[in-house]
Amino acid sequence: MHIPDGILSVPVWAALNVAAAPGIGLAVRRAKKGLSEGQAPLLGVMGAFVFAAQCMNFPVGFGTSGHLLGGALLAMTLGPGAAVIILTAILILQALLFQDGGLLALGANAVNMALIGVWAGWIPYRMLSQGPLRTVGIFAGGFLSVLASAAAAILELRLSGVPMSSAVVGVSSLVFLATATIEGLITVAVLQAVERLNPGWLRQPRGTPGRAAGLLVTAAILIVAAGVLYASALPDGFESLAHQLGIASRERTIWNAPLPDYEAPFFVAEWSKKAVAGLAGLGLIYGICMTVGRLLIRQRSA
Amino acid sequence: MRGDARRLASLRLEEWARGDSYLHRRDARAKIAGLLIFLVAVSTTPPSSPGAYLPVVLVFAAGLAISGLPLPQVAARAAVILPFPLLFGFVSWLESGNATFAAALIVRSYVSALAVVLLMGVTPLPELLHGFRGLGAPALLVMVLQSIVRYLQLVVDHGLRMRRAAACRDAGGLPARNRPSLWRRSSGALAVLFGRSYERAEGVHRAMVARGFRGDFLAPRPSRFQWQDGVFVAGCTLAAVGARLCMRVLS
Repeated sequence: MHIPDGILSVPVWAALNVAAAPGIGLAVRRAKKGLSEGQAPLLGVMGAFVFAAQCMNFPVGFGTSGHLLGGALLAMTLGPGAAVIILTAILILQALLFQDGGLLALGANAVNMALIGVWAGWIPYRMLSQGPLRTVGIFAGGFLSVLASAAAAILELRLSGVPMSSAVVGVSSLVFLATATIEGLITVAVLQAVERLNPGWLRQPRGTPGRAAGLLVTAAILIVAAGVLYASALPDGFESLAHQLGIASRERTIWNAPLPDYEAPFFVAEWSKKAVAGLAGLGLIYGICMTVGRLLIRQRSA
Repeated sequence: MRGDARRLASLRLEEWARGDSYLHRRDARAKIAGLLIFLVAVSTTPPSSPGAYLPVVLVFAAGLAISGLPLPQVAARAAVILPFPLLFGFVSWLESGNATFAAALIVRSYVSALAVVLLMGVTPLPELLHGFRGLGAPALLVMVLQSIVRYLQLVVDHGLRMRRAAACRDAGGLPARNRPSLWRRSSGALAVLFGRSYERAEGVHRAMVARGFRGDFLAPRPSRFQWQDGVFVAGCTLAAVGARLCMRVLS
């Protein structure tokens, strides 16, 4: 889903352009480590391959056909860093040559398809590719790369004030689920065929993170993607019960939390309050988990 | 994205970009800066009414007149983006009942696309990519862009030839009971295309290194940012600010 210019609100496209720049910068650094000097033509030709692959149709039943989108396949063959760069380059060319997506919305499209799409496709493959659930990992990679990209695009449109009822989101979700399933199936079929031709063309992840961790991460990405599409603004069970019993008005504040009601109160716009609070929470949990994990590893190795 | 390759075959942008108007002669960096200023002016105007975008349409019309590009064809190229804003404009009209907002959304999107087509019509793609590099885009990203442009037609033609050959072998399609086989054949064809692209890429890289390639494409023609380009950027800024103020009044 290539978002053109003029649809997203200024805070959304500006924030996503700012967010995309370091993401692409990191991908460039990561890709440079895996490439020898001047090997950029390899990425370019593989980018041209993605264009060509999108011209080849697969029969999907009911007299219709689908085609590969390619983010997960590129990540699984060339690695996520190279895949991010190729997809970013493709998005730039599509915006310039084919008016498919906008230039100010390039950051949003890059975040959705090049960053979220590639990493959502790479992580399940990375986690599950070296075990009996390999095919599941490949399918989950293709499936989640499309679903997570679509969920991000829907979230951005909602944050931009494009009104969408639950019926519209429901119909869109069905379309996205079908597209994601087709992408997953095509990715499995093509990757297995590529592997038969030359196993050396596949990127073999280093280390074995374990099946449980792989399933956990895959489920987490799926829940986040589905959560964006089906998030409810209604109060949770306790809040609802408190309102019904009439005790909600008696609540007292003991301590002023920095992010009350999952909102950052120091921001003015409603969308930014929620978004900043969500990102802050995510960063905090990630930091805590990383710190605890490192401490545990140090203790064990000592 | 489907069909991009076919659209590429009939691309007129390259032909237009060979012109010699005032806009054609400007440095690519100046034109990119001008376009971004224009797009920001359009994007920061709230979509309260379609008429509010009249000033930017006039600025675009002036640019088009200077460039000498044909309006009907530019308008048709930019219309490619219309399905997306039409869909979301329609959805937002259904949801909120605000037809003016929906129409303004569509106009805003279309005017932005017109401006991009104008830029592409007055700037050859290689120059534009060097312009991006000059404005600080990562060298690797720009090189990948240049390589995609260079080999796109080659790989796409290869893919289309393979598809045609497969269709000839099938003699016009398979019965429904053989669909799994067709699925397998499609994935096999894609894997073969992947392998050939990969091998071609390695061959291309070796050939380029043999000819002295050290990781950077040469600029198509030496480009210098002259004082006329500075005047052009200043003019774009003034036009955008003026149009933005007029739009504020109109909206």
